[in-house]
Amino acid sequence: MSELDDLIADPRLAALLDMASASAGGVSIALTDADGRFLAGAPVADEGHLLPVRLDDRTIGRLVCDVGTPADLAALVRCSLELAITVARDHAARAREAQELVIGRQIQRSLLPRRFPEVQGWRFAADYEPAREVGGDLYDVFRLRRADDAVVLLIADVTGKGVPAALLMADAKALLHSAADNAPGPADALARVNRILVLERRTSRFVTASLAEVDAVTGEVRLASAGHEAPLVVRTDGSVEAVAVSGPVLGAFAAVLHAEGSFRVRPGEAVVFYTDGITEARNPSGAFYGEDRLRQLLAGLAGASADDVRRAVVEDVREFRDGAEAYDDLTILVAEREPEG
Amino acid sequence: METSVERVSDSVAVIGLDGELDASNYQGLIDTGQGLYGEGVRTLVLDLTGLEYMASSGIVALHSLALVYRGEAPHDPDSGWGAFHAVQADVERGNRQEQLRLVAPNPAIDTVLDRTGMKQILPIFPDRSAALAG
Repeated sequence: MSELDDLIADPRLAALLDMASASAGGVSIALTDADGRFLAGAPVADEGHLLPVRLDDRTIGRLVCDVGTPADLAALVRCSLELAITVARDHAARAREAQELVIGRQIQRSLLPRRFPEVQGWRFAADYEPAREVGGDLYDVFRLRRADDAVVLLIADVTGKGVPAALLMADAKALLHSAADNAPGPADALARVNRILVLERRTSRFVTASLAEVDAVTGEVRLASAGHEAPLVVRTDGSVEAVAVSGPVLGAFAAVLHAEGSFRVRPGEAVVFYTDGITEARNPSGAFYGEDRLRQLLAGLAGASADDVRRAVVEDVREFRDGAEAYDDLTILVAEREPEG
Repeated sequence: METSVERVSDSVAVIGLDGELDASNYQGLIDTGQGLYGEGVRTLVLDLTGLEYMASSGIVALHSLALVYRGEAPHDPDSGWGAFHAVQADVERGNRQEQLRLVAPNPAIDTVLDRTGMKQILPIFPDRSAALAG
């Protein structure tokens, strides 16, 4: 497909060349390709001017003019053609970019859960707000097939945007689900996914993830992390604990060690997972929202329902941002253990 | 983001970063590093003293520069993490990766480098002289 195809197909090209020809007493003017093959206008018997038609640094065609053609006219016609080609090319590139972002967002949206599983004694809430150029966050809550009363909480973040990022996230989601079901625990699950991404996928994008396995009856949580922000546990006394567990991002290193941590969520307590779209949200002065502000907010939400926590965080970030543009997707996932009685 | 380049010797250079490294300028940093490699630089020090913020694109830039300074092909988003794997293998054998060195990341950036696992591969020094001494 040549950059000239659209131009040649447009009847206004012939009209332009005819108009130019007529204004110079009927001289022949032709547009040819870079090799001189005739494309449009009137074949020229006696070449007077031969002007390259350029796009960026390349000659993509030629304007051939009869010997009697004024030089100014030839230059004007050539300039008009280059303008039309460049504008069309730039517009097409912008449209393609916009389309890719839309498709990326559609893929990414399709990966998010429509509803949460019903789990006795627990309530879940989540919010996801895409940035203008979607980065590709993912969260999920699902029952483990290999154990009754076990629920997996997952949150992940992929670098990059558009379709490639969304496809990597789709891949990672399927891998993480399968690994969580088949591996004996979350650290091993992350290691398996990492190995597949490193050895079998040729990509330099990486994925951060937090994977937690919750025993819905006891509230015990096994947690592993791949370079992701530590989840925050909101205790009934208003204290907020970050559960930091080490482990590198997925897809980077061949031999990795993901540590496994554990903690217990008691009735009336909640665990909050989030992506850096929250802590790295910026206000118009460029200040960051930060983990401290998030922890302080959560401290005041001890005992609140999952939905109330979710709403409070999202509103606080929005208020902090104060209209400044969001550069990264924002995701929050809250798992609350209902108070007893 | 402002970058300053100091050519310490034919094969050693320091790039100082001031401001913020993010999606808008990470490719420029890769290009600068690549250009220096093309001029014969084989040890690259990134001075992060003045770097206030690094987005996840910064991690991608570090990876790409590690690729370049391992003599791998220039960064291509789909070319893979081969360099890091090779480096990881070196580390496991007891050989330290030395081609790409970092200086004085601030606490927030240091946290990200640590959490993402980049610290396993990229040595960090408190100042330029320490980095140059290796």
